[in-house]
Formats: sequence, structure tokens, C-alpha cells
Amino acid sequence: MRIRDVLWYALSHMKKKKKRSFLTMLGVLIGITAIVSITSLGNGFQVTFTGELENSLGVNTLTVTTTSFGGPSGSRQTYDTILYAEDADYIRNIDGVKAATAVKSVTGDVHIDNISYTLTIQGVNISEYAKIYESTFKTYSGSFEKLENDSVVVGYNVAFPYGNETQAIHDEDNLTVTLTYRSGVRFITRNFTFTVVAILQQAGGFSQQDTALFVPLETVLDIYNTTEVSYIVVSVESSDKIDSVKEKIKEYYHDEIAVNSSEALLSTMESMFSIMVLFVSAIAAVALIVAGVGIMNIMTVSVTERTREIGILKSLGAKDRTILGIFLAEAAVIGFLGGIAGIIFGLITANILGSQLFAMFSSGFSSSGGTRTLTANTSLVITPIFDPLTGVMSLLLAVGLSIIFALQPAYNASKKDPVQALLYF
Amino acid sequence: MEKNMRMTQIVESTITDMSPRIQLDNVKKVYKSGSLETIALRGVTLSVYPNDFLMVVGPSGSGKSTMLHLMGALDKPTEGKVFIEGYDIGSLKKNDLANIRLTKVGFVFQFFNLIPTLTAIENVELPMALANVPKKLRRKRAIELLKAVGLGHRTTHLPSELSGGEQQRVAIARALANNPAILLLDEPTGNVDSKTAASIMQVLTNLNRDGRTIVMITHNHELIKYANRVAQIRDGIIISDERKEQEV
Repeated sequence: MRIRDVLWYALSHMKKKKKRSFLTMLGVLIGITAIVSITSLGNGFQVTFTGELENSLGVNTLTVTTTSFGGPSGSRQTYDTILYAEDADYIRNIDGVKAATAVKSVTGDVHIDNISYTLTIQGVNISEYAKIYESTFKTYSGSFEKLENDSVVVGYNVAFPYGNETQAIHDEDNLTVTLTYRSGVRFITRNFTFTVVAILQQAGGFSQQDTALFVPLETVLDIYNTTEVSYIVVSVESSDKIDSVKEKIKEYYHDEIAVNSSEALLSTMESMFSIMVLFVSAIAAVALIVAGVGIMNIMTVSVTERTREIGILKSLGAKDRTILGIFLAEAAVIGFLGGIAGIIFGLITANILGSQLFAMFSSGFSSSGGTRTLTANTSLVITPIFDPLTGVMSLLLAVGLSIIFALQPAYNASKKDPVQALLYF
Repeated sequence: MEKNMRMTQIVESTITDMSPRIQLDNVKKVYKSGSLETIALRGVTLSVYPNDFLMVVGPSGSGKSTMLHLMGALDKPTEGKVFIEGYDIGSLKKNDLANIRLTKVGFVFQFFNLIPTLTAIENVELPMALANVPKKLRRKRAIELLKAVGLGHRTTHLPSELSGGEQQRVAIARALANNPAILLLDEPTGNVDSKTAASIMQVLTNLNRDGRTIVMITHNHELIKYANRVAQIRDGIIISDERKEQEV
């Protein structure tokens, strides 16, 4: 019997047993849907996530801090070294450094339209900071040029706190910030008034700048009466100079410092994602094997039910290999159709999940005390990336697994004794 | 197919009208089920000639069906020899037996045994598909065969949509698909009414007149009149074998 006729015969049987064929197919469909949606979502997630990270971390940036970034395998290390604001001046002069600023990060309450928000206030060298994060630290209005001690640059979501067009803060507004600091052993809470010089564009993604205030570093250091800073961010001219700059910074601190690069974080993130994709794919593979067992189960039942039909086929002159072919063809068709449907459903699922589920990764900051939460309206939309090779591979997997699991029942069918099979009722 | 087949013995070097199409030579058939042995045939010797319309009668369990299965290469004898158009069934491999069934014999069963998921015409096409006959050719021949059995208008119906008589005629058309010289029928009228039975018998008589060898098992003694030879079987032995001359 020709392959085309074997397929014709298998299909004619499946057409009459639509429900059963569909249910058998469902297992394959679910497995392939899982594989396709997870891998394409994983790829898309990785691209979007790394893109967002690059955006918020800046390109070729180093962070000088007392805590090393451990990553998934390494352990965090903390150094006792104290970072001073002047350190940034030294680092700025290292060969290959484009810009550098010390950052003093504090928390304060801001009253906007009689509502109190708890915000991060970053004391930075604003012009240097703008050079480091040149892709995101851009003005929506105003400029960084005329900076005074009481100047403040406002993040987009602080100026637009309602998530719509309503602007609560404008350029040249006076902004009152309540800060709590220690003087000796006492805690002192005081209001400070700043003048808005610029409002930043929306950065989105993981960037913290949308919900932050930026004020001159010296102002923050004066208020807190200190020269210690939280960390120093450094922008390197090009990626090939990162290592040498890193070395020089470490030398300066006698190796008692952590210099974290955005690249290291990104590559760690990437490897974490590939592990995640691999892990979830393994679960999907288990789903497929379960589907295979389902096919084997249905085929075994089907072979028993169709014993008489096998007898008839043999009495008509069908060879063993023809019977084998008919049952394997059925399994292959189930695998193929389940695979195709799985790819389609996988892409649909990935798109829905990408646009809906990962909205939870939207940036924002939580309330503290009686203050209100200001949530950024920038949700992260993952665009799934479908690799055609994944499609071909999952289709082959679906067909291959279906055939493998149908081999044993199909072989049993082919070996049935024609006379016994004909007498089966 | 002939090339692949091991021709262990040919009864006569040239098959003439007088050489038997089927030959059973002291055939014994024993079925084993665990320690239980059932003797179905105890030594049957019988030659079926091209012009024969052989009716085999006998009570249930007498070995009729076993004999028919052996004549159709569905089974091998335990002892003795079975020849179908010269081929020694006992010495053939499974694939060669399948080829004999495909090209040399056509089966018709009491319960029609049509493939329930295929339409009438597809059922008739099936043996031709098994024999790799091109699609166009087999469709054409299937229509011709269905017309010949009076079902030209019911070609696209499923077996479940056909009456018993119609199903049996489809089964006959299917048995004739690859134009076999031998037609083996196991109580073909057992499940149809007497009128339909008569029309089926008429079809068979015509086929026999056209030179086809027919071996038919029946319980119904009324049908004996259509045959030109009647064999009685009892307890696995042929007890009588009579040839009727010039039956019209």
C-alpha cells in the first residue's frame, strides 16, 4: 500500500472518530503549547528585560559600592570601606572614564496637592548624572543648566502622579520636602523648599528615575552634615575600557571595594533566564511525555477494538507492515495536527501572557506610613519572539514522540493472527 | 508478486482448465489453546477446479470455516498440503500469503465485514489500494463493480446506512476488486432475507459462469440448487462430495 493510501485510510478512520482523535490530540496540543509559549515568551522576556535593564543601568556603566553583586552562584561580599564624595573626582580623572558622580540616596516625604508621598531623593552631580544616563535622563521640560543649591529635578511620575495628563508639578514651582536626619543622638524632621528646574521624560521599565527627585549632591550632604555617599556611578567611554577602569578603581581603594558592571549584571540575568527557560521547557517535556503515554493508551484500546478490522484488512491481503503503517500514520497525524495547533495556541498564549501577566513588573513604589502609593503607569509589555526553528523542532518532537509511543500498540496490531482477528467480536 | 514468491511446487507446469485451482492434500488442522487441543480437520483431501461452484455443508464446528480459511491462505495446515493455484501455502512466508490473499482469492463473510469508517466505494477500492492500483483506475473499477452488483446508486453510503443485502453485495464487489480467480464465501446469505439471498445467489451463479471458482459454506440446504458440486463435512472429514451435471 502506498504511503498516500495509508494516510488516506488512517485519516478516514480519524474523521469518523473525531472526538477521540481530538482528545488524543489535546495532550500533544497542550505539551506543544507549553513549549512554544514558554520558549517564545522566554526569548521575548530576555530581550525586553535586558533592554530595560540596559536602559535603567546605562551602557558601559560601573557602580562603585561597598556590596558586591553576588549573582545566582556567587555570594555577596560587603566591604567596610567608606565612600566619600571626593572619590568621584578622582575616578572622573581615570583614563577611559566619561563621567562619574557620587550618589547620596535618601528618603523623604513630598506634599503634592495636599497628598503626602514618600519618595527617593537622589543627591547627585546632575550634569554628570545626565551624561551617564544619557538615554533616559532627559528633560521633559526645563533644563539642567542653571542649577542652584535648592534646585530639584523631578521624575515624570512625580510631576504626573495621577497616571493621566494632569500635571501636578511645573517648572519653577516650589517643592517642600520633609527630611528626617540625626543631629548628635536626636532625630530632627525639617521641611526644605526646592525650586523645580526640570521635569524628566518618562524612562519606563525598571528605571527608578520616574518616581525619584534629583537634587545637587552638596545640598544633601550639607543637610545630613556628612561627606559619606551611598555609591558612585561611573560611565566608561567604551566597553573595552571597562576592565582597566575597574582595575584602577580597585587599586585606589586597595581592593577593599566592589565595582559592579552593568554587563556583569546583564550576563547574569541572561544566564538566569536561559536556566529558567530550560527548566520550564523540561516541565513542558514532561507534559509531552504524558501526552505520549495518552497516545499509547488510546492506541492500545483502539487496536483491541479494531481487532476485527485488522482481520478484515489481512483477509483482503494487507501485509503486516501495512497494518503497522496505518496505526503509525494515525499517531503521526495526531502528533502533526496537535503540533500545528500547539504552535498556534502557544503563540496566542504567549502574546496574551506577554501583554497581560507581566504588567506586574511595572515599576512603582509603595506607600509608607500614611502616605499614598504612586504607581508608575509604565507596564512592561513582553513581545514574544518566535524562533521558526523552535516551531520546526516542536513539530518534529510532537510527531516523533507520537510515533514512538504508538510503536508498541501498532506492532501488536500488525502481528495479529488473521483468523483469530476475524473471529473477534 | 510472482517473482518474490517461492514457487515450491506447481501441480502442473502449465495450468490448464483441468488443473485444480485449490488442492487440499490430506490436510489436518489442530488448534492449540494452552494445553487444550481442538482438531478442526482430520485429513481432508479435496481438489477444486476452475468451473466449480462448490457448496460446503455441515453442522457447526464440523471444520467448514477452517477449510475455507486454509483455501484462502489465511491459515496454514498443521499437516498435509494446501495448494492455491500451485502455491504451497504451508511453505510460504507471511508476506507471500498476504499476496495470495490480495490477488488470488476474494473473501465474503457472513457478517459482511465491511470497514465501518469507509463508504461503499472506498470499501471496494480498499483491496486495490492494497495492491497499489492507481487512484483513478481503482475508482473506475469500483464503480463498475458496484454497478454490476446493482449498487451503482449507493456508492457514497457508509455500511451503517446500507441494508444487510446491500452490504453483502458491497462485500462481493470488494472481493472481486483485484479480479481473483477464486471466490470464498462463508455463509454469505446467513444474515439476509430469502429474496435478497436469491439475488445474491444469482450474482454468484453469473460469476461462476464467467469462469470464477466459487467455494461457499452454507447451512441453508435450499441454496444447494445453485451449486454444481456439493461437499458434506462432518467432524473434520469430508463424508460426501457430489458433482451435479448441467445444473441450470
